Amino acid sequence: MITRLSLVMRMTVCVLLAGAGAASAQADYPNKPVEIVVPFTAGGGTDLIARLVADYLGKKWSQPLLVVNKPGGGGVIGARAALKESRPDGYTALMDIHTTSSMLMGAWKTPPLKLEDRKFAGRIVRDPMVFAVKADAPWKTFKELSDVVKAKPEELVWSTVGPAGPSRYTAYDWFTQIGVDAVKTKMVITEGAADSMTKLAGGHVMLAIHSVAEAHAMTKAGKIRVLAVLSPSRVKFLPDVPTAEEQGVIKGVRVQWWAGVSFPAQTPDPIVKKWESAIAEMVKDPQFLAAAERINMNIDFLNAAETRAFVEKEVAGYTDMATKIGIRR
Amino acid sequence: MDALVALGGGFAAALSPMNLAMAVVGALLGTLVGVLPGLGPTAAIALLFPLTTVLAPVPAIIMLSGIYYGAMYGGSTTAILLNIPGEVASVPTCLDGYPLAQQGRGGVALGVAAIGSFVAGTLGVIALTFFAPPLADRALWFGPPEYFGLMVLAFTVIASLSGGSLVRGFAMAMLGYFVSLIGLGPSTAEPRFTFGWEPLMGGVEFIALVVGLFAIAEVFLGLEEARVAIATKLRNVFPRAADLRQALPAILRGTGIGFVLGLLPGCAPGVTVFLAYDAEKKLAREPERFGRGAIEGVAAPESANNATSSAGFIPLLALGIPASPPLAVLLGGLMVYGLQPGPLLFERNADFAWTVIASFYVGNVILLLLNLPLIGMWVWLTRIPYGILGPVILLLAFLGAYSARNSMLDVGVSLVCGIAGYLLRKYQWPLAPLLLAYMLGPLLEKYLLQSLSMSGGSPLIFFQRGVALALLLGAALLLVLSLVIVHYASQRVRETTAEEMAL
Repeated sequence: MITRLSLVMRMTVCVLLAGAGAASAQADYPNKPVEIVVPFTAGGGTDLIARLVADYLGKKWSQPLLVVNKPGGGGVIGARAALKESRPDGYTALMDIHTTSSMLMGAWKTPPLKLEDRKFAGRIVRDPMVFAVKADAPWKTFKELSDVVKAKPEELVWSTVGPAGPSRYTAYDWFTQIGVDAVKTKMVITEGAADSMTKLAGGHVMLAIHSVAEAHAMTKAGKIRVLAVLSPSRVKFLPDVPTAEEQGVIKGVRVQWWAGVSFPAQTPDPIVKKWESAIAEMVKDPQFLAAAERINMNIDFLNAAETRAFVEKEVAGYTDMATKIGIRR
Repeated sequence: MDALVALGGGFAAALSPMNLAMAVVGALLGTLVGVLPGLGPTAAIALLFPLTTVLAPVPAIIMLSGIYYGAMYGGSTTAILLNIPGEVASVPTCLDGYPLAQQGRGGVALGVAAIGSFVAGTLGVIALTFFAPPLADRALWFGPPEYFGLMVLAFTVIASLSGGSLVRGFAMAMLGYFVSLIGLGPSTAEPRFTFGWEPLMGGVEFIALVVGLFAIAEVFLGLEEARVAIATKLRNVFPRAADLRQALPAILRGTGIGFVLGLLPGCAPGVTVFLAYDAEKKLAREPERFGRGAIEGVAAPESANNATSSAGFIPLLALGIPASPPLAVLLGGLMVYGLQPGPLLFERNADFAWTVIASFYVGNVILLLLNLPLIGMWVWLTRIPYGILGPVILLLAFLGAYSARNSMLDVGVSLVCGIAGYLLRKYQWPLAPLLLAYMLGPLLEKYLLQSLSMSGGSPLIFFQRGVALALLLGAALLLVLSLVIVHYASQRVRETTAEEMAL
């Protein structure tokens, strides 16, 4: 009997050692499943791209890449779990986006996660934002909706993915430009685009602001309608949807959606490099591109150094924007 | 019909070699730990949960369900052979199971318990297959106010999880909610109660909390009581045809009572087993046989126990409401994998949900196949001296707490929780409400904030929306109902064990 119990014990110890031994063996990385943390609910844009990447690299490396959703706190809880509360051995990656990096740093004077807390492996997606309403909503154009909100801002109930997410930055830009006091509108904080879109389709909120890819599934299912796209020109996936500028509502584009992969700051460089080159290969593979196109995901690659520079520039932009709209704290 | 097609897909996944192996390993480990004297199902699941975290979500949940089923059965084994109910749901099983064991028919009692659990479990899972999807179809109706209503409904479970004293139950729930507040807030990511100390930003780790409160505390209690093993004889394991004929109607009645009541969110097995036992006693031609080794007295509560557990998966998966302490631990397990049980589970993670349901069928079969031949071994295990067992459990608990995120802080947290759990248990403060509030409190807070931001701060929103209002009224009704049932059940527990036990 003691042998039987010690078997249980040995199993546990083996499991622990498997974790510890891996850090030293970088050459044959990955030699066990890799976790990709998505700090939002399943079904949002971050989750979709994470699943595409997991599927592609999982096959390439013959190791399962597991997508783990850890929503809450506007993405901060999951991002911290991946970057600060996990072992920096390359077996935990973060699907990093604007909300957990540049926008967070723009909105917080002492952010709960800093740029130095991560090593980027590369940016994979860049996607414009869209304004979406329920399919049977009375407003036909974005202009029409803007006029209604201008007249009665207190009646607008809109959803965001977090206090410092792209929806909030986009909405405040919109409110500022049409002269609406943002405080009068009703903002509902959700746990990610999928959560927010479900609330829109169920009629619990009136407006949701997300990326092209995030609006895709519900638009295709006929549950929601896209009124405007926030982009210099119309996008190929939504040729019939006019831009916000075209409709004379919002000038310029200050907010966009992107996603990349990052690791805890102490992760060994060879592993991050391996990811960087694997991503660079992946974004050229026609099969991967076709899969991304099926979900309206706009692949736009930047390597590790370019990603860092891109995010640093964004931090400056969002800090300025957050200060001006009064959400920097 | 869609449900059947989806279930077919679930079976294909559940029967894959890896998942099948995990179900077997889970059922074996669950029974192994559940059978150890003094480790009830809740402690068993808490102790073994860290093992599953190295797996992908689907095999992990399958293994966890196996552990759950196994641990429940293991609890019955100690009840029958040692007269030690691992948890309150096994108390009625002791009444006739232990006399049977003393008469040398312990094997038969265990066999009937296994068969009863199998029948009830299978019927329960069949019903689950057809009940969950219609509920899930209504998913889009559910906005924040409706979810808030649902959470309030879930909190009424506290009444039946509180044991004797409702006041203590709610006090423990508040404590649990307070523990959950530590860390980053769920909607604004504002740090709370971290005192500026970085490691606390991640909050109190679920695994460290349950391992401490249940497994470590259990060891302290066991050492204090200086538990001793009792020698038992075992002759025949397989029930005779006459035994089965006698047991079968009781199994079916127990299943019926257990399942129907188990559908009520908040009706724990600890309640239904007593109702099933009493029903059998009232229906029997010679009620005086009960308490002296009536086979129906084992069959009915065991079936009710398993049926309630299976039925409990419906409110758990479809609404996110756990009906019993082990299910509360299981809910935590699901949430650790980012799977939020609730109406949307079947929409967003349909493959997962159906695989898990299919694995429940598989788990029931495995448990029966495992248990009948292995009863001899389980009996043998109950004889381990506590002096050996206690330290081993302690070691496993600390390993588990550490492995969750490789943090020594969590080991410290689990030790603190262990000491707290020991003291609370010793002075009859129920732990299950603490766990429930720890897990559901942040959701309640989130849905309340979302609802109030929708209405611009007016609480009237909960009364203007039909579904939300119905849920809140349902919660009030359920609270009254469960207070009545709990009052009855705790009276029975007092009569039977002459001591207070948390339901």
